Amino acid sequence: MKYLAIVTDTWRESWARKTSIVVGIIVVMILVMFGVGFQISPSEATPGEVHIGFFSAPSSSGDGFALPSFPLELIASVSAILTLGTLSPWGIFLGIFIAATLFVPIFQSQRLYWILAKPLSRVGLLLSKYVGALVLVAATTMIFISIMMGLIGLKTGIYKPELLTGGLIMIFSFAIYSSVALLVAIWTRNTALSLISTILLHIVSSVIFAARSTQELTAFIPDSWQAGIDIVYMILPKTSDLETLATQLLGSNVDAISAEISAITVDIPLVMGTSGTFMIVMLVLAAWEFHRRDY
Amino acid sequence: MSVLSIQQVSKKYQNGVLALDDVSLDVAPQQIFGLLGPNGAGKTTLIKCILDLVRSDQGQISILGQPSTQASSRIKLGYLPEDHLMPEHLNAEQLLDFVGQLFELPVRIRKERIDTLLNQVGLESRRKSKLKTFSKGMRQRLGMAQAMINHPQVLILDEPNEGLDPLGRADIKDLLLQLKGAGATIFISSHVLAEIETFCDHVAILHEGKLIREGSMKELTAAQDLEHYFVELIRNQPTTSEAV
Repeated sequence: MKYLAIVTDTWRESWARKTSIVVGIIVVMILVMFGVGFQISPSEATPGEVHIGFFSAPSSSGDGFALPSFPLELIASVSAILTLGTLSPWGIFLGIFIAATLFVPIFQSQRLYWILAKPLSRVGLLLSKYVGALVLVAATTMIFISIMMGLIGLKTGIYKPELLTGGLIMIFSFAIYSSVALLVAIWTRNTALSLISTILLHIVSSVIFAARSTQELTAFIPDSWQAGIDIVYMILPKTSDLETLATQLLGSNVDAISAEISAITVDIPLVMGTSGTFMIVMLVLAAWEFHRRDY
Repeated sequence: MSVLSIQQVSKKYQNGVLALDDVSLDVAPQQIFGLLGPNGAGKTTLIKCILDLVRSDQGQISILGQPSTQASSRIKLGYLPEDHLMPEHLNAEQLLDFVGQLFELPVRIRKERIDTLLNQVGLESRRKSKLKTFSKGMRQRLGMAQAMINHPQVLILDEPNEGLDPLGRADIKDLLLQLKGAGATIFISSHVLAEIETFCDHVAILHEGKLIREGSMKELTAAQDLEHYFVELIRNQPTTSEAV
């Protein structure tokens, strides 16, 4: 019960912050704009295709120019990809921002004095805070994705359950980033450094991913660097691979996406295994530092 | 058996400051034990070592027979820190309920104790007020309430009168005497010697990390009042530059 109390207090503290209210408003606005504003109607000229419009009824022609029509399946896939695109990386970093602003004040000495004097283990307290932030972001993400999946289904008649899998992949990415944010929060007790470290991790892992998977880039990399890049790739979490995997799940029928993205092979056991290991190492280091430190 | 046993505890901080030097103390049941010392004597460090907030370099501390390094040793312990921040997103009632949950108290008991404690510390009318609207004195009163939610057998108070007006101090003193009457042991650190003298049974005096005197209040104040005794004792101590 005591650790559950810490988890629920993390949610309560998060909701009391203005950032969470702003995030909530943005999420509701996106849902309303998509639900109310995004409209489709069947194309008379090409059966199986539709016209799309925003806040106006779509028709085969606009004011003096013809509107294009698209296959319904394509509309559903692109909408699903855009839904995940909204979450990654911006949604993840919004989550990290909330997590970092939660973690740092909690691990300041003056707030810890009275809570550490209770019959709690330090590791239990730390993990409860982490799980609290993780569950909060996971629930928000899955609710957002489920509503979007429902809206896309209602509008197009095509339901994309792959969106839920994509959502779980995004939550895994958030869990990895927030483990780094947590470790830096305990080490430095500085919100800015906690945020910067996660952004740096994202940049470095994206660059390494690009260096290994983009042919135009690999051509310029000297052979002597390749071994080093491979080692760094193995150590770092593979969040770019995870994003690619999510896009592949949703965009297999989108020519413009599938041509480029499908060419990338994602080794799922390797990506999940090494990324999960990285996250666990970060959490163990955070727990060790929190356990040994004087307050 | 002593309620609180501190045996040969030393602590040197990373900056080289020797905050505690071979300190040993035993606190008997139902005592009000006063920990005195000038600023930087090591009082707060000793309290933090008792609570495992700071890890001592050597020595052993036990609370009610359990090593202080075990979280379970704090089940029957209440603590009011000297300089603390409470979570400002909570109101007074929510804070006490949260602390009650940390002690795994059932809902019914939490509700009863919250009502009683808010009355005792004079915050009943502010039970729904957010903590960010509380004055220093009100936070201190609420700090006392959260320290007592588990009906502690040992209560550790670090400067409990900090920020309190005379009425608040009188209320705290009454509370402490009530708790003592109920069988609790109170370990209190304070600068206000006149008040310590009126309700402490036993006193220990720290200076530059060392325990320089320990005894019953009667023994120490047989010839003069506590304040004069304390000042004279400290002035007669040799000083070392490295101690806190």
